[in-house]
This record gives sequence, structure tokens and C-alpha cells, in this order.
Amino acid sequence: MYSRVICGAIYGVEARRVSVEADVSEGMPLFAMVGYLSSEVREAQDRVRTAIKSIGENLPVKRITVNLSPADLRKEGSGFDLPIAVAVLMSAGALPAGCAEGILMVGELGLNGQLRPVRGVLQIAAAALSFGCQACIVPEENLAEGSAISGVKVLGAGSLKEVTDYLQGKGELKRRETDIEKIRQKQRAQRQPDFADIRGQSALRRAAEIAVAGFHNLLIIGPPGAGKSMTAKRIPSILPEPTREEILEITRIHSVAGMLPPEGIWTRRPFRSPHHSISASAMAGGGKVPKPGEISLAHRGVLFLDELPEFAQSTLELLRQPMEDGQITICRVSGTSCYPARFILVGACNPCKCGYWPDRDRCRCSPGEVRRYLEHISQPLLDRMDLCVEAREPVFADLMGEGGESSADIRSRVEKAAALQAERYRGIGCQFNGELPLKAAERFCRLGREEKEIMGQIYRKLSLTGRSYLKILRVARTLADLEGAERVAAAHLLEAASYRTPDRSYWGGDGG
Amino acid sequence: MKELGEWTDRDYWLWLCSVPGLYRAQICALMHYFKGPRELFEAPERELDGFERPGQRWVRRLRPCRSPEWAREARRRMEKHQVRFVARGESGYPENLAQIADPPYGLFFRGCLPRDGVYSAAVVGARACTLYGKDMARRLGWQLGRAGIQVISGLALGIDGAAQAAAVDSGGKSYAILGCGADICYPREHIGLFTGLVKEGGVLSEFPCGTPPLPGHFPIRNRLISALADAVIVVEAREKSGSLITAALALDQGKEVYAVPGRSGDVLSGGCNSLIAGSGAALVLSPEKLTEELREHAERIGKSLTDPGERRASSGKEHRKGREDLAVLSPDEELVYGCLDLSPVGIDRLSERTRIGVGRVSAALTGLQLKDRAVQIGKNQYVRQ
Repeated sequence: MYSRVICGAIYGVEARRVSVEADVSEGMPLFAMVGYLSSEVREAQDRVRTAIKSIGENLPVKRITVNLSPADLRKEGSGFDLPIAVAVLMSAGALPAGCAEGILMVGELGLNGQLRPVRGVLQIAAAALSFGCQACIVPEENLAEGSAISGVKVLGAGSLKEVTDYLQGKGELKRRETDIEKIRQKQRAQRQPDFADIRGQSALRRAAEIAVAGFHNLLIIGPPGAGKSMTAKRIPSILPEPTREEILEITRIHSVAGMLPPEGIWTRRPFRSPHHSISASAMAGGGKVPKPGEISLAHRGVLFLDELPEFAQSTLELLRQPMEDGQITICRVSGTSCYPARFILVGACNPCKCGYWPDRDRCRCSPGEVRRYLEHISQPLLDRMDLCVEAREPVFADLMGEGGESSADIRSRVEKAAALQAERYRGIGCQFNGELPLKAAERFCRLGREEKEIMGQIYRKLSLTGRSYLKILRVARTLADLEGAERVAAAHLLEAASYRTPDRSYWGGDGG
Repeated sequence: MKELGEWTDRDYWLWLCSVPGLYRAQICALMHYFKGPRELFEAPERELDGFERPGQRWVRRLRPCRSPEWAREARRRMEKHQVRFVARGESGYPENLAQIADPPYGLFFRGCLPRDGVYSAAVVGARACTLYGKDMARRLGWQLGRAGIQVISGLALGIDGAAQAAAVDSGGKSYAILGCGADICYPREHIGLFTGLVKEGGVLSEFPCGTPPLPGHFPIRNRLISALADAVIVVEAREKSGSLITAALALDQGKEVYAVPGRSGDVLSGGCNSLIAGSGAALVLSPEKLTEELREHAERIGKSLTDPGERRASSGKEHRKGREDLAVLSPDEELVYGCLDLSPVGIDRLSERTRIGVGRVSAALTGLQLKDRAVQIGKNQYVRQ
């Protein structure tokens, strides 16, 4: 008898519909599985057979054929166990025919019939309606993330027995309300490093605030021990709260990567700080079956690269295109996946090999050595850094002094600026000043006559390029937003210009 | 190109000096045995065997060079790069060089050679210099060039280049002694200055065309810098640096040595300060005062300064000291400018000193840059101008 159960599989960050068909017919006893399966899917037959036995059902001594369609799509992962088991049980007559109509199922089975969590439940649940399903049965552990989707009845089951009971109308499955606000509060209460711990470093604080308020990329240059990493680690504490859509986006990626917290929802902006030994595919995403890399895991959050020049050149270069497009497309034999990757890049580096340039009393690096050290960071990458700031070594008075403003105070300003931007950019496809394309930047950062004159002076005097002109406009817009100012004023432009990235001529060059 | 039969003594010297990897000491040893380059050129192979030493390759490299074809090839290379040659004893060979204990056998040069009757001063110093050093070098180069003194230096990054560039800009003459062939611009960054020197002075080298700038070549050329100059001015030098070696050589050769003082404790000025303290260098009070002293020295030793009439009008790059047309500063800029000095200051420090916010300091600094009153020398490191 033929039966069918709908299931979902993850490709990239999207869910695709897979229907699991089963048929039990006369013939040599056999359990055959077809449909372009990877080995973990093929192994499902043993898990399914044993799990079915564990709930007291016996498989008929007949020919059992399972097909996962579409047959040209490579099936990976362990989420097909439950739908296979249910389809086989229906074909064998242990479950009433058609009882799984309109229900999407996903989950891995244990030998004892227990249901185990799988990756990507959020996407699958989100896509359920488009697959023609009004309900989803997911493993209990995945219930929290699945429930974040509205419009679909998401049910959590602990074992195969619970599922069969439910399908026979003998029992109910768990439901859950996922309250994003509650989870947000709970996660916010977790302690994180605070900006109040940082003494001195006023320029660095200011730059961090601007970077976060407008989603600008930030490069921190400074001698060892100046507090570059310390500041970067505190950036998450001043990031603006993500919106509901952003939370779902962030959670979706982490769900695909199998990295969700127990609450099931990721309500905070991510902060990723990979070590500089990271490979190119770990950074961009990849693998035989593409998985999101660090840049996608940092989506809507911060990607912090400490010791920037130590990263392999190829790893750094591949950041360029995603930084421009906000997404990365990965092509592998098994298919092409596209992951979002819109992040704040925070880089930290020393000014030279020994770290003390331009302090000539301590640094003996020749200009050539300084230049060679910094050539590890290519100009195109430097061009994409909106802000560049120097961290200087704290003096004793700083260490003895009071800590600075707390993260909460800074965040309140950042939130205000973020709200202004969200209001202004509603409907134009970007959210923060740092993402503004040139056209929009000129529209929203309209300059008066005086400002235009100043900008002209800056452009000529500091020999800017078109790209750095755009950077200054965006940063000036953020500065105005932080002040709550309607228009970009001359002072904003001047300050923005002081954060531009140094060019080679005096940075490691001959020193003007 | 002359045929072998027409070769004069000078052609044989040119050939010998063109042999790559042959330094003065080796030529000296060869000349001791062979009497002259012509004898060496024509000597049978086995006579060279006596110079073979284990671990030394120069004899092996010299052997194939002893052919008219090779000599022609070397000349072609010189012609291609417009490099000329002057042999010791020939007219035009700088007198100052002839007077030292170990003069080079020949000089390769582009442009001109320093003029014998005209007073020359060398300005030397660190490559990795501070802005103070660079500024002093510029002012010195400018003043010396204007006064008609030939500025000798090594075309290196930092002090050397700054002084020479200023001398050329002022309309004066400047000569660079290289540690590589005269057809090679090292460091590459100074290609603009290099071509400027070829026009307004000269680029000299003891090494034949195509010689790479090996580390060992620089001490060799340093002796020529001090030898060519009548006075040596050290701007910024660490203890144990090439510039100090040049100064010591100059003292040995009986030249006037001046040093620009630095703050005590500054590593980069340590060499200069100890020169002043103990080794007989005079203190440079100011570029103007120094020029006066050099003028008197020139009179004492009977040398002239380039006639102002002969000098070009200085190029458009006006030296910025003493310019009056400064734009009006805003109150913030005024405040920040007051806290800047010649050693680099960061934004944090300025914000502390002025007690205004980082944002306003940053804006004021950009404003000062626009008005040419401050320079950013590193990321967020500013000095006044």
C-alpha cells in the first residue's frame, strides 16, 4: 500500500520540500531506500526498523520500498527518520491511511523510539505552509525554535510512540508559546563584559559607539596591551536590540548551523571572533555540504578579527564581496547555497611588527618593514573600513582613574540613533547608515552650501577617493543621528573625516 | 664604440671598474701585481691563478670578463642608462676624493659631478626619523641649497632624501652617492627625487651599473659622502648607526662636523648628542646660523659658493616656514592647536589636555589639517605644522 509523508530538508538557509513515500508489497522481504541518499539517510532504515519494533509494532515480512522525492535532490541529515517511520507504518497498516495529511514531520529516531533534535527546524517550520502543511511535528528539543513561527501549528514529540498515538487520535502532543520578549529579557540578564571596565581610551570608545550606531566597519590600530581586544569584546553590550525580523534571521542561521541556545531563539546580535588560523572555507562557509561560515554566523552582529594582518591573505580577501553584497554564495559539487552575511567588521592590528610605531624610542622598524607588515591588509579591504581609530597605551593615571561610561548608557544613545535610522530607511532595503548605497547616502545626507564647501576642501586636501567620500558621508550621518540632528553639519563632516582609514602614503610610507 | 686597438688607459680603467663583484681591495691587490689594467686585461689565464683563494669567487667571475665583447656589452649598458665614467687621475675626478687614503679607482655617475671649487656639505641621518628630524633636514637642505652650497647625501629614506629634495626645490644643487649602480634607484620611493637629482646635480656611485644595493655597500659609500663634503651635518642618528660612521670618517678626514641636537633621552638623537658632547662636532643652532658658519669656513679654505646668478629660480614649492597667510582658526581649533607639538599626540591625549570631547577634538584636528596647521603622521597621531 502506498503512503506519503511530507518532510523538509535544509539547502543553504532555505528549506525544500521532500516527500517521503513508502510502499509495502508482496515479494522478497526487503527494505529498499531510493532517492539520491547520503549514507546517514541510508542508515535510517536500521534506526527506523528498530524504533518501530520498540513501540511494539512489527514490520510485515514483505518488500518495503521507501522513496524520497524529488529524486534528483541530494538528501542529507538525520531529519528523515521520523517521516520514514510514519510512512512505513502507514503502508504496513499500523496507522490509518491519510492520518499524516497536512502534517510536516522531521526528526531523528533513536533505537528505543526516542525522538532526537535536528538542525534547521526554524526554516522547515517557516516553510511548512508553503509545502501545504498546517501542522509540524518536530522533536521536543526543537519545539522552542519551531514555535517562533506564527501561522503554523508546531507540535513537539518526545518519541515515536507519542507521534503514532497522536496520529491515531489517542493522545496530544506538546505545544508551546515562544515569547521572544521573555527570552530576550532572560538572555539580556546574562552578564557580559561592560564598557565601564575600560579606563581612558576615549577615542576608542567614541569610535566603537559610532560603529555600532551606524553599522560601520571599524579598524583599531594600537600597540600591544592597549586594550584593543578588550574594547572589541565589549561591543556586544552596546549593540542595538535586533528587531523581530532580525531575530528570526539570526536564529535561522544558527539553527542551520545547529548552534541554538536551549531557549531555541537567538535574541542577541551575534559576536564572532575566529582565531587567525581560520581557513577560508570556515570563514566564508563551505564543506562538502555547505554550512554557514563565521561571516554568516556574525550576520546582523559583529565579526571581530583580532591581529588582522596575521590572517591568511586569501581569507581576508574573500570578505570583500560579502561586505559589499551582504551575502555570500557558495558553490560546491552538492549544490549552491546563499547565506546572508551582513555584519560589522571590527579588525584590530598593531601598527607594525613590534607594535610601537610611530614611537621612535621603542620601535626600530624601518619604514619598509612597517609597510610590508601592513601590506597584509589589502587596500580594497582597508577601503571598506568606515572608521579607523588608534588605541593608545594607557598611562598610569588612566589605570588609577574612574572607569568610563557604562554600556547601558552608551546603548541608550545607540538605540535612539538606530530608531532614527529605522524610521528614515523604512522601505528602501537597508537599515543602517553603514549599508547606505551612494545614491541613498546623497539623498539622506544632503549637504548645505557651507557643508559642501568643507567637503570640497576635505576632498582636495586629504586626497580622498570616491569610496572614502561615501564613507565620510555615511559616518557623518551617524554622527548627526547620535546627536539627534536632522541635518549633517560641517562639524560632523570634519569629525567623520578624522576617522578615515590612513592611506599608504603616510601609514608606513615615507611620512609626508 | 672604439675597437680594442684604440683603447686608451681610461678605457682599460673603465673596463676594470665595470667588472661586477670586484671591490677596491681586490683591484688594489691586482694592480699591485699587474701594474695596470691593461696588463691585467692581456695577461694569460694562468697568471690569475695566483689570486684564487678558497671560498672567494671574484677571480672566477673576473676571467670571462676579460674580453672585448664583454667590455662592449658593459659600455652599452652604461650608454643605455646615460651613465658616465671618470677614472682616478683624469680631469674632472673630484679633488676631494683624490685626497682620501682610499679613493675609488673610478666613479660612475649620472648628471654631473660636484664642482671642485664649490663648497659642499653633506646632510646625513636616520632613515626612520621623527618628524622633527625630517623638518630640520628639510630646512637645512633648503637653506644650504639657497646659499649655493652643494648638498651631498645618500638618497636614503628619511633625513637624506628630505634634505636633498629641499635642496633641489630651493634651486640649489645636490648630489647623491649610492650603494648600488648609478642606473638603479634605491630606495624605489625616491624615483622622483632621483630624476630631479640627475637634472639638478648628480647621482654618483663607485659601483658599476647593475650592482644591487647590498648591505655591505653602504659603509663603503659612506666614506665617499664624507670625502666629497667639506662639512658633514648629522641630523638624527642613533648610537651605532651608519650616520655616525660617516661622521667619524669625516672627522678622520679632517672635515667640519655639525650635529643637530635632540632632546636628551631621545634614542634617535642619542648619536647626535654624544657627537656634540664628546667627539668634536659643533652644534647646529639653526639652519640660518649654520649657513653663516659654513660660508665663513668656505672662505677660509678658499672655496666659493655657487653664484646666485647661476642658480635656477627656486621651484614653486615654497618652504612653508614664515608664511603669513594663515586662515582664521575656530575656538576649538585654537585650543587644540595650542596642545599640539612636534612629537606625535593622539586624540585621547588632546581631549584630556583641552578638556573637550573626543568628537570635537577630532573635528578640530581635521579643520587644522585643512588649514595646514597640523599633520596626521600615523593613525590619529598628529603634530603641529
